[in-house]
Amino acid sequence: MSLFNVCSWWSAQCSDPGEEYDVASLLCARFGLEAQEKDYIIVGSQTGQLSIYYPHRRGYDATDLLLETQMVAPILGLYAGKFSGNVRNENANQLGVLLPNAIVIYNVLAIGGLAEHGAQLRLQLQAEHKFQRVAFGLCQGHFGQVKGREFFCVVHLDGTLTFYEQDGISYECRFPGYRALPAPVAYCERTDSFFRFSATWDLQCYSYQDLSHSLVTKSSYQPTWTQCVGEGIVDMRVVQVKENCSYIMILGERNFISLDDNGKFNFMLKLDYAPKCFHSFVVGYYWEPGARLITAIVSDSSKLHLYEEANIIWAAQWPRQSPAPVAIQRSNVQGLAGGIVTLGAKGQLEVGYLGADPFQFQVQPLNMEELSFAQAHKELQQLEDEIKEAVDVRDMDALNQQAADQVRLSFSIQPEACDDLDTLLLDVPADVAVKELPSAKGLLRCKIKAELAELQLAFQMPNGIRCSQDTLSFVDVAAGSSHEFKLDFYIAELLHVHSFKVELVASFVSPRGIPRVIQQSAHLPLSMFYRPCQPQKAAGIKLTYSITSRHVIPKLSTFFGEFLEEHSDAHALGLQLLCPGLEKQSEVITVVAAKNSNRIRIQSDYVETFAMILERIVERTLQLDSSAGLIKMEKKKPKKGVLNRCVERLMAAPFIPAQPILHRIDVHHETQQSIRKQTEQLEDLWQQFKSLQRQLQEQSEGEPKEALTMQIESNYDQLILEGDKLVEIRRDERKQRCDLNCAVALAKWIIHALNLEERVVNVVSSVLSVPIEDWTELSWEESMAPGIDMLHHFGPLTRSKSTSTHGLLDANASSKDSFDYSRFRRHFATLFDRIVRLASTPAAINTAEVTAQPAAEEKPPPQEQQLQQQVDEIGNMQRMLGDKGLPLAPPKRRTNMSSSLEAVEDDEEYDEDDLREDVGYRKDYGATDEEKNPANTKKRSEWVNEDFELPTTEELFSDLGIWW
Amino acid sequence: MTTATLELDYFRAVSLYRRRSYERCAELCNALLQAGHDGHVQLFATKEGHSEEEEAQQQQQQAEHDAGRNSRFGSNLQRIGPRPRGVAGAGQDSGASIMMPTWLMEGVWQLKMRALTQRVYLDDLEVDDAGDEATEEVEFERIATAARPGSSIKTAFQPRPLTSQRQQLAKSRGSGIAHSSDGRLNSSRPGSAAVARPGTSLSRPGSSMGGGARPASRCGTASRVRATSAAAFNVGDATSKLYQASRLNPTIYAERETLVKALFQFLYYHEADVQKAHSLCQAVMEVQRQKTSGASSGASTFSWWWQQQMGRCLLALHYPRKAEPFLQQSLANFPHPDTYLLLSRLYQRLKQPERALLLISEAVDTRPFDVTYRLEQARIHQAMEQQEDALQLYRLVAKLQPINVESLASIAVGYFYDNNPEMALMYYRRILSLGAHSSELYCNIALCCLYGGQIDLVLPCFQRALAMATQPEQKADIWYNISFVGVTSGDFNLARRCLQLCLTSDAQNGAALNNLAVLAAQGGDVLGAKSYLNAAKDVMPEAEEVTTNLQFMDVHYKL
Repeated sequence: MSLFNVCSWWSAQCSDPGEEYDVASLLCARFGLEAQEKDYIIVGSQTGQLSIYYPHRRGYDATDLLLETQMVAPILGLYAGKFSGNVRNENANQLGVLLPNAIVIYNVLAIGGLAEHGAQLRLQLQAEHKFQRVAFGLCQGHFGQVKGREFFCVVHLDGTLTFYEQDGISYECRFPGYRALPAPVAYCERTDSFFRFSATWDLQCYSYQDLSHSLVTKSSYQPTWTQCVGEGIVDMRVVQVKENCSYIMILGERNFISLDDNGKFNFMLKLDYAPKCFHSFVVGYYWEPGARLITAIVSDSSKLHLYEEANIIWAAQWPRQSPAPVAIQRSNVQGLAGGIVTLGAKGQLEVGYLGADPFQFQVQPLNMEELSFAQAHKELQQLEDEIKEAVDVRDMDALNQQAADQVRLSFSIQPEACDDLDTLLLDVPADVAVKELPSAKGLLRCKIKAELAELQLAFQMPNGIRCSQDTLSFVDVAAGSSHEFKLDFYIAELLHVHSFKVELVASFVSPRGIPRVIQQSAHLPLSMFYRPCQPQKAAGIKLTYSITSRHVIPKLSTFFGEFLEEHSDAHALGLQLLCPGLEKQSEVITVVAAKNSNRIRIQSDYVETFAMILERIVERTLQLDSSAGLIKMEKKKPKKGVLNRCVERLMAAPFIPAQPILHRIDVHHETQQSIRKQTEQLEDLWQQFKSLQRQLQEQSEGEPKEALTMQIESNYDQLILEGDKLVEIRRDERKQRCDLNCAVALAKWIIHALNLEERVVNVVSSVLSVPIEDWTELSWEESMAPGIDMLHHFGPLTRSKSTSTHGLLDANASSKDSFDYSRFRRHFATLFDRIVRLASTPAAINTAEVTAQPAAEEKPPPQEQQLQQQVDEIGNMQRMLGDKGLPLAPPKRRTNMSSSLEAVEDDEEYDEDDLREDVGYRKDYGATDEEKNPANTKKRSEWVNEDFELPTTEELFSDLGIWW
Repeated sequence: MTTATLELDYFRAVSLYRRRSYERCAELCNALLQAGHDGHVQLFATKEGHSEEEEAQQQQQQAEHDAGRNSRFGSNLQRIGPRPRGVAGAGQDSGASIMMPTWLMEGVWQLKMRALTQRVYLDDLEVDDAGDEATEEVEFERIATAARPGSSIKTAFQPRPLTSQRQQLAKSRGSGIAHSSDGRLNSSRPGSAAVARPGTSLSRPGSSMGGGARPASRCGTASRVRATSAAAFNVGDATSKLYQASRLNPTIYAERETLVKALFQFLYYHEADVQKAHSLCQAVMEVQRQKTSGASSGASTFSWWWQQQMGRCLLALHYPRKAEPFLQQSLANFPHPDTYLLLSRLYQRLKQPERALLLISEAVDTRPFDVTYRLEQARIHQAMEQQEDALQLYRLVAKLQPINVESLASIAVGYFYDNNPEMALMYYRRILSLGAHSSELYCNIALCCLYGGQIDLVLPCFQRALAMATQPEQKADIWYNISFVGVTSGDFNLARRCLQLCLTSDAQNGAALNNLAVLAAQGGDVLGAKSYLNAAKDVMPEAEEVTTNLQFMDVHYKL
């Protein structure tokens, strides 16, 4: 059906090309000007342009335009009829032009054309009726069934009707009820009644009699009948189809509805398209049998559907995908009977017919270039390479290098602290601002070499420190752009700070979606946190580092230059912690450099003071040493048995202040507990509160409510009180978390420089990661417990091999649900014990050897040699140990236990076990695997992972059958 | 600015509404509303101080009549309107600023509401929620607005019909598959002999595609249309607070007959707030009940319209049993086509398709040539897995209304599954020549070509489909289907790539995950296969294929 077109026969563009045309802007009518007259097409725009066309033949011709004039006001509608009584020609129709505040009746006069200019029309004003309200539409007809004359009534926007009978009689009808949206009114001549679409979406029928009488009698308007249509309507039309019956055709917003004039529904057809306008007409004469009721409905997608009654008989498409017309009429124009006249919203006037021209739907050609296989292959290859490159993570160093090339960062912090911080601008809390703590200035320069889709720069600082701009985000960064930021680092909370390192993380996504991350770090000046003071003679905690690197001068000025005058050779330095700056206690740490040896002693009463000092010592030593370039700290995977390379530069005395650290943990744990308790209590109170509220709700009207309200109030007060307490505890907890941070960091820095196997150091350091984190569900202790447990039972710190791992695993499983703090604490303590013990043993050898050659410091070359030798020896020893498993145990055990710690009281297997080759996560549990058949051991070595990295998924999966 | 110009503007707005330029209409309304707001016009306030005397005179009677109502509700009604800043009545007769008549303000308000509603209107009866039985409890938004679930996941594993796959297709296929396979990773093996159901893609949505102004909305993007554009249209609209459904009190509006129906549609279609629409329904019915009892005439029953809307709401809220009496009564009062369809939908929801058929055949008897009912009949038959009857009916529809795309597409699907891709292709080409070209259609044509042996057309069609696809779901479907080209031609690498692309568009595509698993297993990567299968299992826990494959892996691989 829609394979056919609506063929264009005649078309014209009306004078106003704007979107100023409506369904009422089109009129096809005759004026009775000549004998063989055909239809005139009259178009009036809402800008007031009136045009009359008279198509003569196919195709538009200039002579087809008979009149073009500009009205003073917008034309709301055009109507033709016998509006005037005093005209001679009985067949003549007048043109009624509906303006917003008037209806003007014109006589249309023809002026014969001279030569080829064609005929013209002229309008002669016949009558003008003005009214107050703006009109919406007009309804005309032989009201009261008068013959030969037509009356009309104007429908106003507010729903009132103004009737104009001829000779100046007019009266107004105002319907009761609210009227919001105007809707058309139709007149049916057969029953002499009006159909009005009410605001309640009913179709109401009023007889003309009633309407005209009600003005006189002021009776209310009672509709003859009412039918609910149930939807908004687009348009409405009355067609007489039989002698005794007229149909009201309604184009609803969703359905096409037809009723007869007695209010009986004829049909209701659900439309599966969005209708726009319609025209119903009768083919044949209604008084003859065989008259057909045809309806043409235009859909919003410019399709024309033709229905006979409710059955579709034809559908056609307007050929161009033009916007659907807003008005449609059927008209007999000269040379084409029954043409379809349509008017578009922009004034495209067209007379068409239903042609048998097949509708050619042209699919737009897909713009495809001829595919060259070589080319395509190359492109594909390129793409694949890119993808491969992007997802290949085997060579991380190269990747990082590349990433660093793409985004060049230079991040530095001035080594001096400054005091001119704008505390107001940076919104520093008052209690901090009062202290006037020093701040630091940083500078970040980044140069972007490649185009990036997103770039984010984030600074990571220890708790309590804040940066003036802690996150910077950019989108669609052009290549070659560079940015520079001045940053302020300042203390925003009075907490113990565990590190003075600021990390900058730059993460970016390239336009192809490849993500990369680069990291840089810088150090805040220590003077931000400490100020020099009198050194203390004695202190509770004493730590000793010996600087073994010969590139580092073991003097205080090397490490704490900012606190000392230049070239001063003071041997003791007292530093006071600025930051929490409590009134009661001044937290002082004293650093003493030995006069004649390479040792540095750090002592203080407070655990919190150490972390940054140790960090400074360790970092500075490593930095100076590596800048001297003797030993490269290349990031190789540490082999088993290799000693901590840090030791070659500095070594800590094997002592960890376990008690104070554990004390911090205790405090933190207690607070956690009390938070939990507090939360539970709050929960209880809240439940109580809710149930009280419910009681109040359920209480019937009559009962007294005072008691209940009092209860609720007291309960509420308590709730608030407890809530405040919780807030308080949380604040405490934050402080304690920072203290614990410091304590853990202290342990970490000590272990970092202990004389242990490197992998042990790595494992323990990674377990003791700072800053610590508490989650709502899981406190730090609980999250640490499995790791500590693991270190306790497996790994290089295992106590003994006689322990049945199987049983331990079981114990693990059972303890999973309930976290046992005392157990955790015990493990933690023994962990420190073991580390210290472990560290003190090889260290003893080392020191013994060093003391064997006391002149080492004075003679650099021999020392170097000796160091070399020493390293070799250690390496050899370890290798030997590693290879054989046990043999060297007895001598080791014999070494002096010079450290202050208690002697190793463990059984003999202890050391062997520590250094056994494939300690790892133990796989061979139970007695069955004792035999260690070769296959088994081979398998184990495959999967046991000395580096204590998580096994890769493949490794895991390949062994799953046995392991899980 | 005079009242006349305001009224003229109002006329223009109405005219725009008539021409279906709803956006521009709403804009004009906004300007008018703003003007009214500036002039302190109270919406729905009492109508006392009307400026024109004649009106006042005529109003008198009515005012008395309404007095009770107004005094009761007048103050409350203001709540929806912009709050007058000064004394509301002060501007009434001061000549300083032109007073906008209240009726005009209300008219504009209602007009904008209608325009907004019409703009996003989507026939909820065209929305196919057949697949929602499992999610009976989910809230309305997911169901009625999620138009036809474009490509239900249940239809996975086969070259996938784009939109509008019926659930039963999945079911029937599922049963057909279980034994058609040779054991390993059975049904999901793409391109295996198991039935390959192509898309009915166009079936129902298509019917509107040719003729409707809202093709997009019926092709499974309705939720999008509503969720984004409707909301986006309110952005920056100062008058949007006049249309806040959340602030609306149903009982207040229930008595405003002239307004309440439009308001209902606004709530139901534009705001998609069925709960609210339902409470409005209840309030209106309550008012009607009071009236009838007060008038004691007894003759006037509830209006069929409200009963229908009540049923509509209850159905959307998943109370089919409660909805039934309302719809039955409504039908007894007036045989509206929507009521028939709603009732039929309801019976299907209640798993009584025979009853639905009976009901529809009643309607068919009275209007034998109305394709609406015939289509519904066919759909019910299809839902009952009576393919033959359904196809018969679709053929009848195609005869009655040769431009009905749904029937054509359904016939095409019938042919396709009947191993007759060439015939299916003919029908699809007919649809194409009707002017409906969509990515789904091209995708289906490509599949027909693939299985019909017209290999040269396969990729161009897919390319076209891809070029036309706008929604991620569409893209995912197309890539999924292209993967079958790879599978049929043995280019597993291509197939894998396509499936991965499918996943980039729609990461929740269980079918693609499953097929990737199969391909991975074929490539020897059993662990990869396993993890893909587990991912697929997460996405669609009840899919038979995934379960079977997982079981197969458990049995045959030591993992």
